[in-house]
Amino acid sequence: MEGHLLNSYGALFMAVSWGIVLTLNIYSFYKILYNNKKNK
Amino acid sequence: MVHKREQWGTRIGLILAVAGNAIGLGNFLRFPVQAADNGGGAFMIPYMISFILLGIPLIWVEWALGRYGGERGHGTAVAVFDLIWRHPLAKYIGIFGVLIPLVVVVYYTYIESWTLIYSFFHLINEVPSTPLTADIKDYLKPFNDFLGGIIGASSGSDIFFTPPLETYLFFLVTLLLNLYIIYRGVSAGIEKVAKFAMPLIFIMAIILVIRVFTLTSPDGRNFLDGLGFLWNPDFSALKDPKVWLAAAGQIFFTLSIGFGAILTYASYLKPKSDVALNGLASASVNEFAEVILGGSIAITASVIFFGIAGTQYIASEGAFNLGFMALPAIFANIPYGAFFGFLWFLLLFFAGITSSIALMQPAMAFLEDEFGLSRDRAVKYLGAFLFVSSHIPIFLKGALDELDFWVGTFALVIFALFEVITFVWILGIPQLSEKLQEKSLLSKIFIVLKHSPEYAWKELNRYADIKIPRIFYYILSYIAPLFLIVILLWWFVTTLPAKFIPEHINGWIARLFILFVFILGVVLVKKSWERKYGRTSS
Repeated sequence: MEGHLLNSYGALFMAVSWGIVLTLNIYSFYKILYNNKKNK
Repeated sequence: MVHKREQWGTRIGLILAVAGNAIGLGNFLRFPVQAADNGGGAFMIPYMISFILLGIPLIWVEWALGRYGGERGHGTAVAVFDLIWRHPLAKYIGIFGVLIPLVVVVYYTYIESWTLIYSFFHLINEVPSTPLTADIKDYLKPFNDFLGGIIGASSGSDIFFTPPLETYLFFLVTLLLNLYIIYRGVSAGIEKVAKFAMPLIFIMAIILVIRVFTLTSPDGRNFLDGLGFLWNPDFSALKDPKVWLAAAGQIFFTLSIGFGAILTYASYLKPKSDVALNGLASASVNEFAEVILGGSIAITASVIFFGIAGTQYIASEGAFNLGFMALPAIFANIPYGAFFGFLWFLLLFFAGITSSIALMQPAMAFLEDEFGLSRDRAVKYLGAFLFVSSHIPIFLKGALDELDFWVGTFALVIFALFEVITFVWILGIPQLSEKLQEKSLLSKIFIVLKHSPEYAWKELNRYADIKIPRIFYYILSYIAPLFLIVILLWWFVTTLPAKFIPEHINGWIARLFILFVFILGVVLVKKSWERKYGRTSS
């Protein structure tokens, strides 16, 4: 069987990349909601 | 003539619309192929670096230029460049910000209509069904023939496609749907569609990710093999400049930088609006769709079913083959496959339409802002142009690739460079006039390079809801333009020489079409300026 399981480096790269993307989303939408609330 | 410009209804609607512009077929089809071809997980190092050094700064530039134009009653680079440069030639350079999206949408709408056809055929379960056999070429043949049948590639002619009537009808439906949304306007059309389509895209993508992650092949491969193929790093790839350029290119295309569409969308901002946080939020949503969702569907499913060698073979034949051949082939062999196929292509259709309406809007803004046309008249002119022009990629073999290379790839990097130069180095020149008096040319250039970015930085931070780290001042002013120049030089050396002579007569026809559109654009800009300011201004 041809295989290429996710190894620890791969998991690390995936976790860091997903982490950066999720952090950016959470940060920007938190800021938007915070500013909307402040402006009200 | 001054006319009342439209505005976005809500901030979230605006962000979803800009993210919808960026989230397109490339997020789900191009990104995983690029990542897997360029070192897997190691590709993500240059990709993330490019996102920070090129993607975010250039997105801010387009947002800021758009707000600058919108505040002065203009929504395209034509007028924005004219306002900033104060030179007769500037508006003719700015016309790229209208013509690039206009030419791209000529073929993009046609590809978008394929996703609607595929979605429909999956819904009525009229797609090929073949048992999984050992030889991948034999297995994929019915799916290859199916795609060939839809686009009319199997006619035997070297020059013409002969698509069947249903392909043409689906294209007309897609085009009319796009035009109707544009006709409804920015808030009642584009924003409404974005608010409806974007959550659906994410829901459909998450359902598909869950389905892919629960797949296993008859010989035992599962999603960890797919993720391993995409994410396990090959560090030797980092030494290859091609990998770095592929990553920079992917960031460029995925964020829709250099099309002029973000500039137009940002021109409809309400007064005193932020661009820093809006730009960052829309880029972040796009990256979520690309890195997390786009990276987990097509290539993962393909590795599970066809293995690594099979996936590499499919991907090497083109990014579309993964989405239009490999995935339907996989769906044909799983329970409720027709339903998942329907979801996959509907997802691509929604991703496509939120991008194509964005690509049409600069031309609309140009006709409305610079000619004072009503929206319905502007839609009629745009619709007539798109209907006639679309016959080139529909019927002429090779024309789509030619248009995509010269306009959808090459021209946007050049235009992005003009955008960044305009914003960073030219915007501040009027304020430097005293410092520039009686100086030599070299001294003037030095003063502009040193002081002008400060005015761009102020413009970007005006009404900002976040404090942009100061490091981005240097990235925006020097690193991003340099990065773009390196990409262009690399393409000049490696790619352009092979593209000078087209392989086919249709390549020349496509080039003549580009030339015709450019001349038409120049004439329209000239007429518009003569109409507004008299003959001397052009």
